[in-house]
Amino acid sequence: MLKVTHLTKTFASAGQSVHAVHDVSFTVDEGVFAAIVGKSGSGKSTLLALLGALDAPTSGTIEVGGQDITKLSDRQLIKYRLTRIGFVFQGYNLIPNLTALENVMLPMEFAGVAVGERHTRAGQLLEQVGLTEAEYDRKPARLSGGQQQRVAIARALANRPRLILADEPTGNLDSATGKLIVNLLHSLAREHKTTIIAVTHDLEIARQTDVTLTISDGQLIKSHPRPRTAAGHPKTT
Amino acid sequence: MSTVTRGVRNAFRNAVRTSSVVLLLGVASALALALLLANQAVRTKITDLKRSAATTLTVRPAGSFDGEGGGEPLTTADTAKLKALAHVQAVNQTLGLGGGRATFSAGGQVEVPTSNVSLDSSIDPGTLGRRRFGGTDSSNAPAPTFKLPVSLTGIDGNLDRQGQPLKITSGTTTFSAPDATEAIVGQGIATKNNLKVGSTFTAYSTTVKVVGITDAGNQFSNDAVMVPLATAQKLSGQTGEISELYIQADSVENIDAVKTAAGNALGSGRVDITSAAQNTNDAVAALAGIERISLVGSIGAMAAAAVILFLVMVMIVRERRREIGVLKAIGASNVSVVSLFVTEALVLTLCGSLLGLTLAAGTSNQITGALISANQPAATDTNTPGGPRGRGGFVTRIGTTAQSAEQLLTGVKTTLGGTFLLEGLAVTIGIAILGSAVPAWLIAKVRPAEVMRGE
Repeated sequence: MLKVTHLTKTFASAGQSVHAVHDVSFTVDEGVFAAIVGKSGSGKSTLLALLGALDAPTSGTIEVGGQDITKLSDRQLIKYRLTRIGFVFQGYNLIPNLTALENVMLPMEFAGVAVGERHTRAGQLLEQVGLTEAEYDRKPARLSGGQQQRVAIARALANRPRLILADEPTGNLDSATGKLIVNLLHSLAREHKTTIIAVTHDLEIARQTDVTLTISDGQLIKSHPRPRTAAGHPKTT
Repeated sequence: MSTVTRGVRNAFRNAVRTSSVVLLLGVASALALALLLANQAVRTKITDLKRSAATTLTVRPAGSFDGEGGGEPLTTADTAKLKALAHVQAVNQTLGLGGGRATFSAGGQVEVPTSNVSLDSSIDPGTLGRRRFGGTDSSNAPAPTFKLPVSLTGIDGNLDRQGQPLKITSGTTTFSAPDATEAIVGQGIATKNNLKVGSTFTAYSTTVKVVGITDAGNQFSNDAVMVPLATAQKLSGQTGEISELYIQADSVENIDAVKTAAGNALGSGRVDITSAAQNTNDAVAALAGIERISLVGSIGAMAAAAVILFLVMVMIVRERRREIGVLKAIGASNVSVVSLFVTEALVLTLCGSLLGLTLAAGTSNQITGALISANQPAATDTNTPGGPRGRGGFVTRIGTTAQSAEQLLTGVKTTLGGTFLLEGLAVTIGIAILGSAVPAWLIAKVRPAEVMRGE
């Protein structure tokens, strides 16, 4: 599903080259929930931005479903972001003057989905992530952090992406709500065969994923897969 | 929900900011639109002036001016000669019949005017009238009490002495016969004497019936009593005589040629021919100044509106940088995001323009009036308009012939037409595009990775 090969991102800072991501290579299969862990400034968010085509790498390749996204034109990159991936951000990043339902409908609007269809699907997705119908028409300011993150997850799923990239998805949540969100992501990975890559600094969450990629100073220093239990949950080590 | 709908909603996202921006844009737009309306009105007035006043020549007996001097009267034969000249569109004739003077003794011999018309003037003599007749400045005689005489003017057809159509407020502009004992009276004299259409008064011991009431727009002209030319000639015993002739040339370009030809036809030593061109030029020069000021002011105000919008949009784009990143990260194209902000800019500008249009509609005439007041010609020829002369040498001018530059500057009114509204809409869209062009460029420059900042 996702194959990263010799990926490097270099920034120029104070006349010097800084390797935010340096020669990173790994593979994540379809339906796998992977965690990228590392200290602050280790390059994990930069790596996520590269995977989501939000930024261009200095060198290396990123293959998603066999397609090298580093070779895509600007127009193709927009389509890639629109149809192949879904983003979940730490700060939720919902549009504040749109309701929960409208936020979920937004990516579908960009994809040209008919109004009726996107309305129905947005409702289904919100229901799937556990929002009640009364909450559909609430604006983000009137939703709790956990509810906002659920809406963000529903928005990420809107165009049925094969890859979901989550940047500290539980970072702003209390541990109980964070656990619920992780469980939600898990079920998505299992039920929809959606590949999920989540950046986190929370090792407890990382332990619940199928594979943990540890990054330090821009380099991948460890890849730790976990076999799943009979129930489909990763065996914690 | 479409991009346009979201753009409209975004425009009202922050009520305080939206109100402030709309108010600022409204004031700037009001100024721009009011000045644009003034500019249009002034341009129209300039065109009218060039078309009418500048093509009029006044012919009066040589040596006669403003009731002073002497000379021989003009005749209807002179009119016929002028009508035969090339480039002459029309010749208008008038005969002014003034009052006489009576000796008044009060510590000294002074003369006061008498009138052959049984009407009271609507104009009070005031200091100027008494000074003219009382001689108090040199003889120390007390100022006599008297009324200004009401005099008749014989006019040709239904044109006033300037060759302009009579502005009738009631009744008719047409006499029933060329020698009918009928009159068209000014609004002032009608009010003063309770005259209505159908009322009668006495002139030269003859009963005259009012058939029309005019409003010339100034007190002096509204004190006029106009009768058919033949009637005036008959009542005063001045058969065939004319006090002034007004030649309407076919264009400004031919005015000098007509003036020369008229002088040759009537005998240059016999008549004085003057034109209103100088006054018109003064008026046009003043209006041209206003036209420039209003245009520059309007462009300046529009630029101010565009700058206001530009700054607001830059502020909004900077404030929503992360949101732009989110939109791009979830698949929005640059066109889609730019459209969102341009719609927002357009909505703000439209609201501001609507407010501005309302304010401009209410203030444009005042602004135009203020501009005209501040740009009056420094000195205008107030003597050029000669009026009909009284037989006793008394000034009996009851209306202006060729208007002074100040008078020519009156009547500039703004009108809010459909074309103007369309132009206003085009300007609004222009301001929105100008004001959001740079912000749109800033939007295009925002990388989707911005959304990861601070995460």
